[in-house]
Amino acid sequence: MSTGFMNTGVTGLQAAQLGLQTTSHNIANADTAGFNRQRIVQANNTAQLTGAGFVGQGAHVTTIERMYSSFLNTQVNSAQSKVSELGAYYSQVSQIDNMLADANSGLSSALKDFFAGVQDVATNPSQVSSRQAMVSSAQSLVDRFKALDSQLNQMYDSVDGLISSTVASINSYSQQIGSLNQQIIVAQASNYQPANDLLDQRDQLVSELDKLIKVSTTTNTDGSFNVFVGTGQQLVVGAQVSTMTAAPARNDGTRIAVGLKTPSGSQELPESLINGGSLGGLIRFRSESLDSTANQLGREAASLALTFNAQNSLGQDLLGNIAGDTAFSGNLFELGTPTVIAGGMNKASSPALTVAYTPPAANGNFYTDLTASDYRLDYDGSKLTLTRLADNKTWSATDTVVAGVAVSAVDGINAKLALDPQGFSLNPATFTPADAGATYLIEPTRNAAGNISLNAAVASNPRLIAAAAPIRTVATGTNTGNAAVSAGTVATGYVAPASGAPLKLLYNSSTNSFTLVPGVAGSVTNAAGVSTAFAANVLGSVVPYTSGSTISFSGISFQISGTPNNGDTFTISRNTSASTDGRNALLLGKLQTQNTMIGQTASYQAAYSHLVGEVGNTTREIKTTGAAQEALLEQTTASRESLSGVNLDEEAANLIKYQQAYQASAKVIEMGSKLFDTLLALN
Amino acid sequence: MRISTSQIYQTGVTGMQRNQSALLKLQDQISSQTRILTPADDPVGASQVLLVDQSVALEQQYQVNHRSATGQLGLVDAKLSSLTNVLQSIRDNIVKAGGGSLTNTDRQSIADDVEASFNEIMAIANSDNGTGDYLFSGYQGATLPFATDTTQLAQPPAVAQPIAYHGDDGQRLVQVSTSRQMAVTVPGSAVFMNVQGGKGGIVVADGGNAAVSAAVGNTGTATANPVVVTDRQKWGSALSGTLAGQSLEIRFSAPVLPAVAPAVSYGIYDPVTAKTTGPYPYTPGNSIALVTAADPSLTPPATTVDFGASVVVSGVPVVGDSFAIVADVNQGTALSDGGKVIDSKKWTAALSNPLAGGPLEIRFAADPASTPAGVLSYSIYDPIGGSTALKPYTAGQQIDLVSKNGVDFGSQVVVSGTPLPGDSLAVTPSSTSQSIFQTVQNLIGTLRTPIDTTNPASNTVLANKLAEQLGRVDQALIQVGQVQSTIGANELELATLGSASSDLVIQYKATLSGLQDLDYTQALSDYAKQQVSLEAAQKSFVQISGLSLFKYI
Repeated sequence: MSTGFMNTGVTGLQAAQLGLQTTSHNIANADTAGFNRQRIVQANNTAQLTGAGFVGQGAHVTTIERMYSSFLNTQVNSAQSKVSELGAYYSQVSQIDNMLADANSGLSSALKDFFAGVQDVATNPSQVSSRQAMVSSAQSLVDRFKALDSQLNQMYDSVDGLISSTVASINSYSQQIGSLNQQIIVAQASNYQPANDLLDQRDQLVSELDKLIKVSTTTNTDGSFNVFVGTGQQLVVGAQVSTMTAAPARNDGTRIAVGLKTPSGSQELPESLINGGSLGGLIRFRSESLDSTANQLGREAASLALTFNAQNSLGQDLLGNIAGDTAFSGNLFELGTPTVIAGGMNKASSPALTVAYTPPAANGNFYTDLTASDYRLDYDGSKLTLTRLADNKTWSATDTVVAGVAVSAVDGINAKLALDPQGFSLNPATFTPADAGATYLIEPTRNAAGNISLNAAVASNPRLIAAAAPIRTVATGTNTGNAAVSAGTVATGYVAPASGAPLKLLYNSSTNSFTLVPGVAGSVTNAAGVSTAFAANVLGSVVPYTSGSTISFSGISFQISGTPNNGDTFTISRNTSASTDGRNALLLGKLQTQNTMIGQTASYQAAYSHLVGEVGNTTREIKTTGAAQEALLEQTTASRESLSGVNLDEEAANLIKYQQAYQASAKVIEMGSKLFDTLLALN
Repeated sequence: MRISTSQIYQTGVTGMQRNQSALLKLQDQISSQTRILTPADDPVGASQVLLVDQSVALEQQYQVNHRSATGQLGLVDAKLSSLTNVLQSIRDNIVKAGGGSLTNTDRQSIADDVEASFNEIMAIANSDNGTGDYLFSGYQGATLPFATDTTQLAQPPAVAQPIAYHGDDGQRLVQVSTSRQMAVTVPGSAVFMNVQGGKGGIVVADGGNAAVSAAVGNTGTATANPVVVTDRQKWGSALSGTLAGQSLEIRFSAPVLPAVAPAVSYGIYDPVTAKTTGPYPYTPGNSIALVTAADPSLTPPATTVDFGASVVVSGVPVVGDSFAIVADVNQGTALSDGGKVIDSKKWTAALSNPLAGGPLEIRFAADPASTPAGVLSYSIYDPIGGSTALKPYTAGQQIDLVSKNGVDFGSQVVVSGTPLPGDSLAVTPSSTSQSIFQTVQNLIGTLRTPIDTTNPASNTVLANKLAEQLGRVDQALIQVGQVQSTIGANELELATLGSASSDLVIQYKATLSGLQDLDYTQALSDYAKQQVSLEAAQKSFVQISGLSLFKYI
């Protein structure tokens, strides 16, 4: 009898011991990451039937369970994944954010200084020191563009580096998960008890993985986990682990793309499939913010260079050179050509496509139509399709014959781009059906900020800045009428009169017209904008006269207003030795406030401030969303901790509880022993 | 709710960090005095700041331009003031020279004075802007604007060769506001050249006796219109030169460039030097200016002589054809009263009427249709309409100027004396222009020419000449005054633009301040609040983390 309750005491003692063991395990792991507190599950032993009824046989511990909810855990992981993604995004985008608007590193101050230099030349065109100052400020502007571009390039490099190292960590975690899967299968198969600490470790690894990339898991019946990324791409299945790769992208070797190595080879994962975690944040940052910033900055550089060069070409330098003269330098900036990256799978026979910037259009002032988007050109064997990647707008064309003349697909695309200008055109290239599948990535503006440079001739000789206008108009001194002629302007493609051979307009009062010698064709546009053409005539073109109308020919325009008398003459001549003429520099200066970009809708500064605002907004949005996600993470973590976390006070209470249970059970054994002694003493 | 021990620490640390980061940001804002530390703090504000910033920079640039423009305009203004003073002193000298009792020697000394003034005017006209560019040369800052034209003969009464303008009509512009480019210089041509004479009046002068006749052997169909004298002064000097009585010829020769129409060229043949100008390509209906060729081989070298006249030749001449132009002074004794404008509106309107071109001429001829034949008659000629029908001439008669096409010039000329057929009187608007230099040179020439002081008639001639030159100097003063007033208007506008620009900068800066400046009161109060909050977090953390059951067992 006494042995009976001694045994019962022993069961209590054992249960209390396990309780104490578990409690000390909890206390020891109070600060272990991923640890879920454990507790013993105690049950009473099967009672023994006696005549007196069922006699209790003490207690036993059925299992040690961990306080764990997979639902809460998934919530925490998912919030953590989002927080990591936003954190990675924010740490990158905030660098651009700081860089762009900063007075020292941003573009704005360099742009202001440059135009102050232009104004100075406009005011003092004959002063070589002013011209030198303008060249210096242009050099600073170019340097600033290059510095910003190199910072962005460093970010591309660092993003690529981070992607590679993140992928390496992901592979390491998936390997560990795979091997833990193996251990768990073995551990749990031998007895049917949960391998709590292994499970904790695996959960912790999944949670670490979630910080790098969003994953989803399913549990197999043998206790192993399957881990998926994206829309179900397998990373870990039981003990089998796939490797993620980070390698140059197939169609854009300049950037690292993430792939998944499968038995059939490595497959590139579309960027849309990589969500969450710091990898998702990096990829999103690169495609959403970095590309857009580099493109917009490049567009700024390209538009500035193209419009400025176009206006500069219409001038005359201090040495008297104008467009067409060998010593004349129409370009103040050099820009290079848009970047074209041929697809990695293109056949060797596919043409090496090149692209050119279209000359800026003029409508009052020069402007470009460049967008901030990249483009892709695909050839399917007959049809050539150009896709604007920002909004997937397409232009396509095939080789055709129009009115007996063969028009290539490339020309067809160019014809469509002429109607819907994008700021660039394709250079001639011949596609044959054998080239089917050829693809090209066109980045019109991506590298423009890095490619812009100062024209070497102008940089070394600031006299070559075309500050003067190439022509001047003169009302002959002996004119008796009061008609005056305006200073005159020129447009792209103008033909200036030869030096020393001015164009003459002789007024004939009987016909109220001018005789233009040499007699080229042109037009007269009145104040209402109605244009009347006049024909070329060897004996002198007849130019009808209306006071104030604009007379245009050979790209030259001017107005004559007032009342001329018969025989009055006006001449248009080369602007020889015009050292103090700053008319073209004034036009260059006006570009600062004119709408020179994005199809004549924004000035340089407006486009730049738009970029700053956009990056600022993104940064702010990421920061705000990040804060919200952190709050969510805090809440879900609190919920999980409330279930799984170790509370030392609680454990202290448990210690006391199990100590007392142990003492009580020991007392039972002692009592049993005493009873046994009593029995022995009876002898 | 169950709380885990690590959560207590985590929450405490997070709370303190949050407070610290807010505190740090406030501190950053306070020390940098700006609300927007990065664009992310206020993206809209940050992008507006950039735009307003550019506007401020632009206005400040305009203010720099204003200073430069004010300097230039001030310089021009000062030069024009000096010019006015010099012209004024010349005017005084003319008045002095007109005094009755002066001897030729007195006039010589006045001429010396005027000569000095002339040099002063030259100095003003060729002055630079302080940075090495000539002020009055238009676009050609490095070109000396005014210099003696050695290719031209002196035009009597001047004895010096005329001054030519080598600049252009260009005005140097400065951007003074977004939409306004202001001219800060005036071209020399607008100040010194082309000073209009008279005030809408009429000048009748000896028109000379000119005839164009086709050479007998001409085989082409070319015909020549009568000679049109555009510059009476040049015409007069050419006539009084070595060419008097000779006949110029327009000679047609082989084309310059055979491949290009027209198929003939022309040149002006000078019988004295036997030189021919050109050849120039011939275009039917073009006006051919009568300018002779230079001949440096003669002693002294013959310069080009501009007759200030032209002939319109039309039709198709053949190589070898020629037209002879006999230029001569009037042979008769016709004298006009100088003419007068009766109706200035009609006069002005007629001058710009396309149906009548100037200059008009009163031409005298013997009327073959009269009875008896050969009655001395006159007609009114204009280059567009041609000659009116002949009317008999009576000495002392008043001739109304109505052109062939019926354009009424609203003026009349009284002609006395006896003209001979072929003589003519030229009627021009008195607005024919002359440079200030020419006026002063003429004045010097007039003063230097001795007169027979005992002859009252020659005194009258001198008085008339001085009166004309006084008129020209007055006109020059008016022209300089007009130019100066536009300069003054520009200076005034600059002052207004300057203050408007300063106001704008203040406005923009206020906007900028509103966009990016920190509200100190708010920031400091936030700072204090945040500080209290951090201290509370720290204190409570220490207390909570100090609570442990283990202390009691």
